[in-house]
Amino acid sequence: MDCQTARLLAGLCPSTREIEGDEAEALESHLAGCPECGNLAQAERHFHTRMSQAMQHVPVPDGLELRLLARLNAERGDYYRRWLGHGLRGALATAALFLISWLVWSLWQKPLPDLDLDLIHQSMFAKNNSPDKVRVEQWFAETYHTNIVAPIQFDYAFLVHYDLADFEGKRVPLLLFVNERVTARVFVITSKQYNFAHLPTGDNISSGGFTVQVWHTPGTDYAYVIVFTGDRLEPVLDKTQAPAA
Amino acid sequence: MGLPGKRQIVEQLVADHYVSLYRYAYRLSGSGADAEDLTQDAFCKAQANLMQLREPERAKPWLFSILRNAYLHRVRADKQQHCVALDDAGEVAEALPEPLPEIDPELVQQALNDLPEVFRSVIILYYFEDFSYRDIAEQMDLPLGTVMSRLARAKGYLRTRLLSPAATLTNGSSEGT
Repeated sequence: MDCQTARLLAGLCPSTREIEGDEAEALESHLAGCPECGNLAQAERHFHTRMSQAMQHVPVPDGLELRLLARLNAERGDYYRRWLGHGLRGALATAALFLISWLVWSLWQKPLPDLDLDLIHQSMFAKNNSPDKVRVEQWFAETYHTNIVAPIQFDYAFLVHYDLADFEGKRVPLLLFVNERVTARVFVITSKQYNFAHLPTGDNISSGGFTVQVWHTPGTDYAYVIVFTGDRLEPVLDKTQAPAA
Repeated sequence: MGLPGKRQIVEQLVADHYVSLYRYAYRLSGSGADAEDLTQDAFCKAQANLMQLREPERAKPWLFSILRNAYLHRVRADKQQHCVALDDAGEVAEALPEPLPEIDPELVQQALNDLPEVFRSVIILYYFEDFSYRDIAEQMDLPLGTVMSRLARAKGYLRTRLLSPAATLTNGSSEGT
């Protein structure tokens, strides 16, 4: 090892702990054999020692450790209080969300009813057992709060079904009369739903196996749209009543 | 902020390292009050992030790194620190005065105060003797060669500053801006 390298290493690593193995041996060997470099390295080591002592000579204030521990304890307490606060707020928010979700769900998800054949039979029997014009009108009034005038011209012995039904985009009362030769659907419309000034009364449209016609008594605010199959409507009409208008 | 570490572990960290950490903070900041604040901040951060310490034997460099970051965070806004230029500092050992005088710790601090932080941290860690070049390089996230270069220049500066009779007699006044 030459003097320049030795002095560089001695300056950089006066304690020689950063140099290992052959390099450390070579340096020590050179310093032992070269008085000038040896003295220089010795001085460097002295300087290093003095500097280390001076650098570390910092008086530590009394009670520092206790103050540090107190601050850390306080920080830890603050942390747990914050954590508890966040936790409580989070739990309350979660509970509120759960409650709202449950309420919404329970409102939307009404329990499905059991199918009760007895109840269905009783209901159908009450509705369809020997119906007549008055009972049909009462049924619509009680069930849908809708006052209708059922057609008097039909024989209600042939009435097999009545309820609200879709008719050209509107919900209107429907009466279904059936016998072995004709099936007639009677839709009850009102002057609030259609322009009665231009009702096509007297017109029949008949094709495709069924006929459509409109019955209206002048001066009334209701009319009947009748859709029937078969050649004639008479089989389901009441023979005791006057012919339809 | 993570869960504070187990109390016993934190207290052991304080017992083992508060002295060296305070001294490092003092040498970095040059003020006892700042050093105490920095030490407290460093331990509080360590307590909050104790999970990050995966190797307990690396606690010391970890704590020193936390403290240095806290210090840098504090001085980041202070852009008017006056620092000396180290262009003339040599890297090869030169003759030292005989006999070598005692070195006044206060003069060391004054000299450190005039050093740019990148040199100051390196030289403090170096003279604390517990850190190898590699430790310092890891702690400061620097290449080993950069650490050695900065050390050589900072040592040259300190030698000039602390061992020249004129500097000693003038109580180590600043050499530049």
